Amino acid sequence: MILQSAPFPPLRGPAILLVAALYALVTAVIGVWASRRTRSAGDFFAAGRRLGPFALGLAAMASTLSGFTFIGGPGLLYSVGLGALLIFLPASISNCLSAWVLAKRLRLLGEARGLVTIPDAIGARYRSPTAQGLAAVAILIAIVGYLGTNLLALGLLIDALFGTGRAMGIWIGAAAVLAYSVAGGILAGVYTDVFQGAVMAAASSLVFLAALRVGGGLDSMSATILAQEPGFLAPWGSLGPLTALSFFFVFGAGVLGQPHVLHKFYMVKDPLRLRWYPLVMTGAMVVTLLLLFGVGIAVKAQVLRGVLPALAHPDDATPLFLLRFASPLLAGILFAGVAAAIMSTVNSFLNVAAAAIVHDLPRAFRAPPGDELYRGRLATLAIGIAGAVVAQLSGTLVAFLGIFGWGLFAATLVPALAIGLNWSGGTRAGAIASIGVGLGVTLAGETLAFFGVFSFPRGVTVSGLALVLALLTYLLVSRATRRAAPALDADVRLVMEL
Amino acid sequence: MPGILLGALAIALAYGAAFLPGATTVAPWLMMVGIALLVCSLCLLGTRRRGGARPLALLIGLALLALVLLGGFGAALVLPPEGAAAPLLLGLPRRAALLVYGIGLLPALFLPLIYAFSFDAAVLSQAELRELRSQLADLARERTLE
Repeated sequence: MILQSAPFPPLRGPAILLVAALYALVTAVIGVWASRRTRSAGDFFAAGRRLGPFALGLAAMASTLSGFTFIGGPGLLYSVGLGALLIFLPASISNCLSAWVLAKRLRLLGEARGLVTIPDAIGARYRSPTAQGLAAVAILIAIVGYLGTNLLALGLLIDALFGTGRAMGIWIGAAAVLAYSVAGGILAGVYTDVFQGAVMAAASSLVFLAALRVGGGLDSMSATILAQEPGFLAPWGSLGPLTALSFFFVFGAGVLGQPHVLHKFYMVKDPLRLRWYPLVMTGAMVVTLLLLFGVGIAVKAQVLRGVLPALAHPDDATPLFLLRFASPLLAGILFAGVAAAIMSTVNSFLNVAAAAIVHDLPRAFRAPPGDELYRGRLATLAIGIAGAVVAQLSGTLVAFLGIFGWGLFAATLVPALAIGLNWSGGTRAGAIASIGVGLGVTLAGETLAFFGVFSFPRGVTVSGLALVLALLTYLLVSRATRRAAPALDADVRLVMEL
Repeated sequence: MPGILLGALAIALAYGAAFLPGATTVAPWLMMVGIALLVCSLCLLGTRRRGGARPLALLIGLALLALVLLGGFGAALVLPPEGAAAPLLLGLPRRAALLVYGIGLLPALFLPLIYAFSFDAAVLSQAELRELRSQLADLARERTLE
């Protein structure tokens, strides 16, 4: 599981509640302000193309990092050692990768064609409603489970803060995100994301400093860990090299297939300002990821020193660290950061899923578009409620659906989108085949592994296997069908050659 | 494109090797080479442009990236495990430090700067944007006339 699924320890106290209330108030004010500026489907799905590089970088960072960064990540580091970092280390590279490979082309294609979704770009590149529809279906499957696990985590956090009970916490959390997502779409989402991203970065850097102080510095923590459990600080931890490298591959190359992040490139006001995007995004991500590293190592050292008891649940690492070692104010800011991370991701998912339903699927079936703003709001509401219902079904179903997230996006979208927008040799047949292979291998592989029908060898992750098979399928089928492939549309060719 | 194909093949072979008994030591090396090839080739593909050579700073940056990935992962695979008395490098054992600071931090210090300062030559200049918009407007006019 990649998100909190067990209850948090109670997080009550005047300072924590005050910060949580302030955070909710600021988010609400931004949401209301942005909602009043949402007047068209272009505003709702593409923020009216008015973002600068700073807002883009912070919003993309907030959407990329979910509550896993603050809760599940330190817990994973605590339990498997340094190998867990291979999930996050690609952040030093992946933002430049996505900028070089996709940012300019998506932004300019969006301008040329008025595109608002990632499947839109696939449909335009291959002149294929089928490819567009298939990409939308893959996105919807990935989002349903991802949304459920995120809303469950938000519900557990609200329960820990306010004692609402898990079920009510999920509904309160869903209602809060839906309030601004339905009214303001992605326009409200990105401006709340900017605030939420700033909260996440500030909270993380403060907690990292607290972790260094508590542990007596990195040297002291490492010495404690090396003396008692040297394997923890080995490069791969207990994961083994192939598993850890597989994580690096999926989370590094997979960034080229994350629709909730990539579709923010459509929102940039001036394409020339993309120059500063990787600098802002990478800086914000590195600062935010310091928490995961600091808390994971500090808690491990404190447990080995006997200062903390061994954790019953690895996901308790961050809450216990904060409650034991941080000031109530800092704990409040960090828990606001956790809520921010979850809410910003949920908002982006809601918007991408709504666009898939009211924009991409009708195009795939050649149905008339209708009033996309109105339908988009209704679809956002329906998906949010569906996600909250899934989150209520805590247990096997949520855990199972939660598997299909990052990996499914990557396996289905990276070849057709990232290679396709840069290589004129890619064909419609190659795109459809690669999306199909990515979808099929991920769904079948994860299902077989989850229910114990088939055990993959150590080091083989289904998401990595599906991604590489989809890449090879795209390249080979495109080669085989290039003679029969239709020519590119003139405007698409101009953007691809620039 | 050959780099992407070779990188993907190396990664596929790494996964394939994991299914074979006794071949597990080869798999991480194949995966490491595949990742470096794939990532750098994707960056090169993304910066391929009509009639223009890539700026030297970009090529040096990508060569450095390949070196960092191969050197960092390679060292982590080759160097012996550290014991309790192992010397620390910036607070971490040597192999961990190479991974965390080398792969996790070093590229973050130079890649975004290379992207920003080679943007006009490697990504998009004002003149190119103006020309593209003019060509797109011409196409739109032609479509209207048709």
